[in-house]
Amino acid sequence: MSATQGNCESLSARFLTTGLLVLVVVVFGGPFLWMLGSAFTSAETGPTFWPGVPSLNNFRIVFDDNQTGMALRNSVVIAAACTVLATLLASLGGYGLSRVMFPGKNVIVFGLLLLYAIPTAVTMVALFDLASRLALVNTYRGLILAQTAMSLPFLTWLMKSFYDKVPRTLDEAVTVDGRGILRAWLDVLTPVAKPGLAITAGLAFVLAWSEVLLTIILVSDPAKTTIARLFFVNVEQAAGSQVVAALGVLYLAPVLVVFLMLRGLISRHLARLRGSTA
Amino acid sequence: MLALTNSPQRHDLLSANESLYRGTLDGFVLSRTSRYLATLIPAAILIAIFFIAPAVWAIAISTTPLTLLGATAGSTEFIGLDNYRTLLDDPDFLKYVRNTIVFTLGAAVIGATGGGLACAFLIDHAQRTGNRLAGTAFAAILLAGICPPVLTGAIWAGILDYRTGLLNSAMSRIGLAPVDWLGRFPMLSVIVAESWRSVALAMIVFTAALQLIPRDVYEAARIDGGSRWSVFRSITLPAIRPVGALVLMMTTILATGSFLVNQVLTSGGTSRQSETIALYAYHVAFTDFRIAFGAAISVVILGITACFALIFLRVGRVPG
Repeated sequence: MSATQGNCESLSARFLTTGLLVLVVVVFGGPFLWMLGSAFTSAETGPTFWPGVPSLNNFRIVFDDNQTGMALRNSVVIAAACTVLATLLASLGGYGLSRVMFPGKNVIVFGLLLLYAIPTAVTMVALFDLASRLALVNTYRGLILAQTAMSLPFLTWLMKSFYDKVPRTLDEAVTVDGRGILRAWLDVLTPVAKPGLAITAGLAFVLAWSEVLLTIILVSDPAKTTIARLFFVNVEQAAGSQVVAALGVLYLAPVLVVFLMLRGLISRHLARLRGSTA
Repeated sequence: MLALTNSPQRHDLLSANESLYRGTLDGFVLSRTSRYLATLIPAAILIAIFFIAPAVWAIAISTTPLTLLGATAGSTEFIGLDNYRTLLDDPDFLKYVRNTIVFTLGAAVIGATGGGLACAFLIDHAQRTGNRLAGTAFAAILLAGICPPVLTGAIWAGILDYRTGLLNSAMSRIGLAPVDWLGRFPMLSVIVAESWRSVALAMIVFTAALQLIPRDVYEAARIDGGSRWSVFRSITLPAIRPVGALVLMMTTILATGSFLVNQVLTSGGTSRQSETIALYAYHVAFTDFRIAFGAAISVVILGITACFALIFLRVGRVPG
């Protein structure tokens, strides 16, 4: 609405825009800094934004629990496997879905979005019962397959939207001369869909690393616990405590790293979207 | 999903499968459509095992008295709709339905969709006027959006805590009395925290839609002397309306089933003021271990989800 003003924005309007942007940054970024500050303050001082002298005491307590190291290791293994598997299947299926032309296509696309939105609350109880009957309990295999399945609807849809931007002429020739879909997929995948692939892989990792409910449902063996579940268990006992904040920093750190790696890609992607229309 | 299987396009799916079958049988080259569809098979298998099967299984066990412990442990006797009858007779259930409506209106409609739209307007405007903070604001919202739900709950529990929370210490600094946010306003607290992490999805979709409006269209409208309101109505609104219905459907369904933020933050509230249906299903199944009863509740949630999807199919447009 106010976008009509273009570049000749008045000083007061510019001031207002900047003020609102600062508010957004504070509201959405501030809570993370609060957690970070609290994690590095000693328990006597109480949580704060800025610990004068940062204290590592909370982290010492976290790592004194030998479950922490184990949970971190399990999470890395599971999230890595999920990232590879989900990215592979999403980029393959997303390619076919982008290129296929038939009347039922909309149904599949809508179905994927719906599956993404369908709450775990619908499937969790039955999954809990099914998994024990199918011997998927307490195995990495079960967790990895379940987590991959959970993220596939959204990731496949996402990859499709990236392929949609790649001109068909690029790979159509390959499929016509019969060298096969897989070859055509790889032809498009490597050069053109790279930012999409990176964003999809990053999201697959974030989703797998964060997932807590599946671990609760599928794992009872404490040796197979993940950092997400360890965090959840600790939070249930003392949500606001500084030790939990320290554990939260460990839980968030890999998500943050992936986010920082992808940030440039995402904004470049949006800038290109803009460049193509301006 | 019910809406999908009943749709008129279903036979196209079947015929595609048929041609796939015939293609392999006769040794002919598969039709291009079925070859493209074949790339979806691995994903479809996993989705069938972990989405479709549990949804069907939930319906099946909801007709049994199955629990994990006690006299009915492991029982798969058929008891018909008894679980649903228990649910309807439970006066608390009506309260949880009411809570769910309040929560969904607050977190999905006002918080996520409304907040996401407001943020999208702000960021699009800031980008068009070359404000350097636009990227930072976008990134901050995005980061909140990928924050795990459990962590979101913990962070907001730290902020809203009565004794040590950020909000109360800030309020006491300007001379206000501390408020027991989580105790007195559990639903509001949960709505704020849930909105905080779900603004991102709506914001991304709306921003992408707004950015597709070329700069010269706005400029031409301005030169033509269109008022701000008429420019908004004739240019901005048509750009966001097609995705608006979709965003509203997605955020509503997501909020209906979301309960982890709530569980960490209030666990439903001391007198169940913020217990939603989804959280109730979690408590019934994983705190009380009444598996069949929990399954019945999850079937109800599935029904609500299907209703939202049906409404969307009536008013919205399915994206290609």
